[in-house]
Parts: sequence; C-alpha cells; structure tokens
Amino acid sequence: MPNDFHLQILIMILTALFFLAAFFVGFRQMHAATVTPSPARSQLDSSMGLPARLLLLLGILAALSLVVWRAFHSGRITLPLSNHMDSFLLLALLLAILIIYCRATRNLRALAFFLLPVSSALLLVGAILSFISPLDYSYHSIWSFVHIASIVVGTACTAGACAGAITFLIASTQLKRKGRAGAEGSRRWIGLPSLASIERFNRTFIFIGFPLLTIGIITGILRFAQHPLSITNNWSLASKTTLAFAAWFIYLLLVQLPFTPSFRGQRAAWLSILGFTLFLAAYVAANWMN
Amino acid sequence: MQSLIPPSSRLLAVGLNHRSAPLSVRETLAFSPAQLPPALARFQSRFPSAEVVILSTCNRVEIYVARPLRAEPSLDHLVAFLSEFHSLPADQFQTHLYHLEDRAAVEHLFRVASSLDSMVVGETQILAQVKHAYAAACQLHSAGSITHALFQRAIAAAKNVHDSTGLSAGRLSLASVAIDLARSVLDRFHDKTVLCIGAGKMAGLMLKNLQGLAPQRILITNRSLDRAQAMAAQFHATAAPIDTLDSLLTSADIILTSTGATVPLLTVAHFKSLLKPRRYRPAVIIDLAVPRDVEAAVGELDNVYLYNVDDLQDVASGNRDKRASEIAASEKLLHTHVEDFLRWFSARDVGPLVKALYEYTHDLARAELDAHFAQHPELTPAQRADLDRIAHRLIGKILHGPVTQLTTHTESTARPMLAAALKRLFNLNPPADQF
Repeated sequence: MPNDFHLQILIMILTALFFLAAFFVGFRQMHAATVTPSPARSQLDSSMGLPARLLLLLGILAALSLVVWRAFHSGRITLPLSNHMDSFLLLALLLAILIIYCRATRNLRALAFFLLPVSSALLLVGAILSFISPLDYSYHSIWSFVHIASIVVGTACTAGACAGAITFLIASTQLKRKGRAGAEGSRRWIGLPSLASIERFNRTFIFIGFPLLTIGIITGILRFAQHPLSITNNWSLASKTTLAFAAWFIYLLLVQLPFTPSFRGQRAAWLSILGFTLFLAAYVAANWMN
Repeated sequence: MQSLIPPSSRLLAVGLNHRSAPLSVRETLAFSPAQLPPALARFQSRFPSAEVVILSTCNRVEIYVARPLRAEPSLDHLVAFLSEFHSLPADQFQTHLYHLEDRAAVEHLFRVASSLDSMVVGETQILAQVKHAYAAACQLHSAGSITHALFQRAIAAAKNVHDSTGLSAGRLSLASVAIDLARSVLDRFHDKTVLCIGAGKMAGLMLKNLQGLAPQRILITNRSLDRAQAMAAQFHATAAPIDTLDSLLTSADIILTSTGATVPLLTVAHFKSLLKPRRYRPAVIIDLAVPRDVEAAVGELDNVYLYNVDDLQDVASGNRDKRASEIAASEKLLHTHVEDFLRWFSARDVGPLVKALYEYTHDLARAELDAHFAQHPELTPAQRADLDRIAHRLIGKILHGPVTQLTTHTESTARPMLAAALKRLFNLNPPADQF
C-alpha cells in the first residue's frame, strides 16, 4: 500500500502524462488540419480538439487537487510551498493558467499547445527529483519566502517564454522553408501565431520574469548571508549559484533586446530556451543542496 | 489518337514551364516586354516563311511557330534561336525544354490559355498574357493566318471555359497567399510600411490587395518616377525616386518587387548592409519579377522572409485536388474547341485540292457547254444561262459528298490517302501550299 508521498508522486506523474497526452493528441489533430493556408486559418480552433482539451482539463484538475491536498497536508494554505515538489506543481499550475489564457487569446491559441510539453517536462522533472531526494524548504526569514515565491513565479514566466521560443523557431523555420501545404515533407502548420505575436509574448514574459528572477537571486544571496554555507564545501550550491547567474545573465541580454536588435528573432529564441534550461538545471542542482 | 494534320508537322511549340524548369532557368530565357519586339523581328528575318508568337510569363517561355511543310525552322533552329538571343549555351536549358507538334501543340496552347496548365488552375492572368503575346505578334506582323486562327480560337476557348465552368471559383490568388504570409510574420499593420518597387500591372494587382491590410503608408518607387507617381495617385501612396532605394528599404516592412530588370536589384550583400539600419526588423519580401529582382540568398538572412512567384504559386496550387471535377469539365469542353480548330485547320489543309477539284470540274463543264452552245446557236441567252446553272448545280451536288468527307470528317485517318486518290483520279495538281 503506497504512502501519501508516493501517491502524490504518482498523481504528479499522471498529471504530466495527461499534459503529454493532450500534446500528442493535439499534435496529431493539428497536423491533420494542415491542409491549405489562408482560408484554413480558421481551422486553428480545431487544431486542439475536444480530446486534447479534455486531457488538458484532467491534467489541470489533477494538479489542482494535488496542490490543495499538499497545502492542507503541510498546513500552508496561503502559500503551498513547503518543498521542491510544491514548486514544480505550482509552476505547472501557473503554466496551466497561461495555457488557458493563450486558448482564450485568438492570436495565441496555437501557443497554448506548445506550453503543454514544457509543463509536462517540469512535472516529470519535479516528480523524479522529489522521489530521489525530496528538498524541504526552510523559511528562516522573510527573504526565504520572497526568494522561493519570486523564483517560482519567475521560472513560470521563463517557461512561458521558452514555449514561445520553441513556437517561434518552428514557425520561422516553416516560413523560411516555404513548404506548401500538402507537399510531402514540407507541411506548414496552419494557425501558428505570427512571429511578431510570439516575439511580443516572449518579451512580455521575459520582462515580467526577469525582475522576479533578479529579486529571487538577490534574496537568495541575503538568505545565504543570514545562514551561510560554505560554497567551496557544497558543490551543488556552487553549481546552483553559477547556473542561476548564467541564466540571469542570458535574461539580462534578452531584456535589453530593444537596445541590441541584432539579437532579435531566432537568436533571441535560442537564448530563451538556453536560459530556461539553465534555470531548470539550477533547480536540479538545488535538489542536491541538502 | 491519329492527327488530323499530315505527318510532317507544321505547328510547333517549344518551351519550358514551371514543371519542366526551375525559376532559375526560366528567368534566363524569359523575354521581357522590351525584348519581345526585337526577338520577334529577329525570328522573322531569320525564318521569313514562318509565323511566330512568343509567350513569356513568369511561369513559362514558349515559342509557337507555324511553318510550311518540311520548311524551317526545325526544333534545332528554335533551340539555337533561344540560345543565341539570350546568349546562353543550349546545354544549360535544353534538358528543360519540351517540344510539341501539331495536335499536341494546339492542345497545349488551349490548355495554357484556359489556365489548365497553370500552377494555380483557374487563374485568369494567363489569358491576358496570351492575348498580350498574340497582340505583340500582330503588331510586328509575325502572326499569320494560322497563328491568327490558333490564338483567336485559344482565347475564345479559354473564355468559354471560364464562363461555362466553375474553374475560376475557389482558387487561391497569389495576393491572398502573399497576405497570408505577411500575416504569418507581422501581426499589426497600422504601423507598417509597404514598399512597392516597380509600377507594373502585377505590382498594382498585388498592391490593391495589400491595401486591405491598412498599412501606415505605401511607398512606390520606379525607374520612371512619372509611372510611380501615377500609381501612387491610384493607391494614395507616396512616390519616391529609385535613387532613394536604400532609405526606402530601410523603412519598409513589406517589400513588393516587380520590375523588368534583367539582373537582381537586391543582392544579399546589399540587403545585409541594410539590416543594421533596419534594426533587424522582420522583412517580408514578395518578389513577383521574372527574372527575379531579389537574390535567393537574401531569404536566408535572419528575420528576412523572401517569397518569389514559385513560392506563392506553390502554396496557391495546394487546393487543386478540391477542384478536380471543375478541371475535368473544363478539359472536356476544351476538347471540343481543340477538335473544332483541328477540323478547320485540316479543311484549310486540303483547301487547294478542293479548289483544284472544283476548277477542274467547272472547266470541264465550261468546255462541254461551250461546245454545245457552238452546235446550237439558236439557244437564247436565257436558255444558255439555264444550262449553265444546271451544270454548276450538278457539279456542286456531285462533289458535295466527297468534299465534305475530305474536309470535315473528324475520323479522317484516311485523309491523306483520299487526297492522294483525288489527285491521281482527276489528275489534279494543286499549287504547293504555303501552310
């Protein structure tokens, strides 16, 4: 008979699988809907059809119920962040909210679709990390609270930007390839947002995410100053700090993009993906900190 | 199916199109509006006994020739003409050429004019281009009786197909595809600038559609500023001299090019130098020109999305399968027009023989009547006229059947044999036919 923790891990994996299934079902439908360009743009509505939407709903319900369960379980109803698992769950829920927002925004509907695998990856990484080495948060001061909250919300923003960047790369590659709809090996998906819309979406989330990550890093330093650990003796802390700073630097580049337009387009997209990957790596490093 | 026309072909069509040759080859053989008159003149001086019409569009370059039997130009002559006119070794394009003779050439032209051979089936621009090619040939007197009939009937057939079938309905226009692509890159147009390089008809058509995006401003530049100004007045746009091209390219978000330039107007090095002043803004470039105005490598630059005529047509042709029934109906209708033409052509072919037959019989009758009138001087003029009429009517009635068989029978696989028999039986020797 599994204990509560194992059951929670299972629900987390199940949630990830729901999101992943929604992605694959939606992918199949989206691919099939790719027939012709202009007149078929309206087919976007059906690109993530009912089965995919049901799977998404099931995933959101599973994640939400798990968050509620864990909040009551830990007694942290107002801020259900007692360990790493909660962070990943909250991240997935924030992304689910973003998915719902994108679904409701006409120009961004297809982007919701690309948020699914990112959300799923976060849940799976969270489940695996929590299972191997659960990291319980200790709130020594207000800085601990601000640090964790800002990092989680900031990471959700960078995850959104990462999904946007993946969408941008796919859309721009297809536009460059000029493949006609229907031609073997050169299908152009219908209904992807315009490159300008995706760029704006990414910019918005990087602009929101960057200050939060900055606050998270500063408060992390303050927290560390109050409860020092020797970086030289703690390789995971050193890795986490290095990775977080590297990711932060990448987002710094992206934030000042309007002043260095040569980073526009595909370069910015690759940087967004790299930045998010580094943050995810910092999470993994943090897991071994204790 | 056996040809109505005698084996030695007299109608030739040589050319290449979007299926047989890539754009890079087509553009090297294209005849610009300025090149067309000298090309026709040179052809006429080289082959004075032949009729010629040159059709040069963004999708095809075709030479239609009507010539006397076993006379010049041959296929090799036509290849050599293309090679010489464009100063291009024949081996660079010969593998992409197709050549059609007689019935096949007629069928091909009729299909071309009706847009059944177009990449975007149902488009009507090709009909205008066929008319234009024919008009140019008429103007330079390079078209003759055969090509007059061929092109006039092809144009009439195309009109009939468009009017009688739903071929034109449901097609995707190049403009709609271009707009869709622009929307795939840019999302708001109220702050965007459209630049049109060239003030031709094609650019005008595209610009008319792009106006629907309600861009902030439209700029038009052209080698002739007057033409740019005339077009600008039509589209509430701003005309600018071509020497300000760099600054225009810097400010433009959507660039439309459609000039008659024979070398690329926009090279990769040139556009690369403009990326920084453009602040690396995305650029949608629609190159409608053949030969292309924009080097293909420009499309490989970051944030530059370049589409040429083939790219647009390739997308637009995507819904061909959905219109299969209309295409089939059009093919069927076109077949009757082709048969009509071939019947006329064939009848025209045996015309001198029929004329000789009538002359022979009438001469015989005349001789007999004259002899009869000499023997019977008592006959009154009215009686003589009556006998004349009877003789001619009799000849008409006797010959009507055989002549009809010879000239209008569609299944006349034996036509050459019948013609030879007539010649031999009546010892006819019609003048050598010109066509």
